[in-house]
Amino acid sequence: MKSKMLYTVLFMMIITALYSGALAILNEQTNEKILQNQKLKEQKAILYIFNIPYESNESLSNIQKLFNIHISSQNINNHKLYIGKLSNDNILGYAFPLEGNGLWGKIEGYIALSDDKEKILGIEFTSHSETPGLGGRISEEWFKEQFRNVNIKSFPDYISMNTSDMQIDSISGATQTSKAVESMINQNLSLFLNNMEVN
Amino acid sequence: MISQSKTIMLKGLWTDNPVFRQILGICSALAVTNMMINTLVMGIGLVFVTSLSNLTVSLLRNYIPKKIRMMVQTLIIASYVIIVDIFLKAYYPNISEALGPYVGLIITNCIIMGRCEAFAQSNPPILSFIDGVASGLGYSFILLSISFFRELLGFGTLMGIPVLGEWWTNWTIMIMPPGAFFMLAIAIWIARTISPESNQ
Repeated sequence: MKSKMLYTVLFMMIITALYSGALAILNEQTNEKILQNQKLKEQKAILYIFNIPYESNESLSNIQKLFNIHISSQNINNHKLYIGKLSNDNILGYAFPLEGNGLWGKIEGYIALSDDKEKILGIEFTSHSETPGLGGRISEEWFKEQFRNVNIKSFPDYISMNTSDMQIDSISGATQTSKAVESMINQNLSLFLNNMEVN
Repeated sequence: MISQSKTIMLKGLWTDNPVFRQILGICSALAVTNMMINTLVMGIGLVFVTSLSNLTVSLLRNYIPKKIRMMVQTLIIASYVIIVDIFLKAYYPNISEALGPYVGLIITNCIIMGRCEAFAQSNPPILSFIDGVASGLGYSFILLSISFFRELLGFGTLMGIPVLGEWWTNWTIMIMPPGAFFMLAIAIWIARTISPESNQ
């Protein structure tokens, strides 16, 4: 009876160790690749919001090269700030991460402002869990492209959708997501602009 | 052996189909069927996990102490699921993102543990492996038929390629959860009409 118990415990321990070990090795070997994928995605997003063109199937090293030429990053009061430059080192604008609550979960992305901080240069969503085909359409090209060169001088509603003088159409059938995106952008913009003024 | 494999295949694919006969794996059948590409990846993942878990459980079946067999099965299944998850993250990041948490949730798919308990626990390895493949394929083929109609009616596309053209008005309900319930029920209805249970 006692030896049977021991066998049971030993069996479980050995098989757990074997499988965890195998998974640990696999994880170790793919870790770098996964981190690279994330970094690549982030860099593509930032290049996109500054409207710096790149081929979508461009290799990792080319994207990185492009990113290093055009973008530099720094931390201001613990806020990440990306500075976009033209090839001749003239400043194109500033970008920072966006974060807010959508209908189902967190929406994350990046937004870029022009040099004088009066216009949006571009916007990109890197992760969201909105309904596919409805709210999920925020990551479609036509929606994001609407934000290019939108004026944000008004206060405190920097942007608003579907008012007569606005350039941004919300997504039909996804009112909640559209509203969430609107308030997320406004909140993040006001935080960012205040933060920049202080410095 | 060959005739046995044939029977197992037929059972998994049709007569004992996990989805419409046993009503297993329904959560993921509802969740990942709004686009065919996601369904396809989910199906491949499930075939992989079910067949290899079955094989492993069958190989170890004479050594696993009866009392802890479920713990061992869960451990084995979880490991294969994590392998699929890591593999997708590293080599197919787009699909990994589209499937989101559902890859990790393959582990909760009742089909896998059901097959380990009902089949692999008392059958030789190769037959168990075939049984896993058959159940996985049976699941995939029902899900693919559901997602075929959901994607076609909901997006007007198949595998992401537009097929219905501009005149088509997308049925938004098809890509939302209610559409999944309707289509799944219709699929079960049709399948059970074609082969009623009493015939067997």
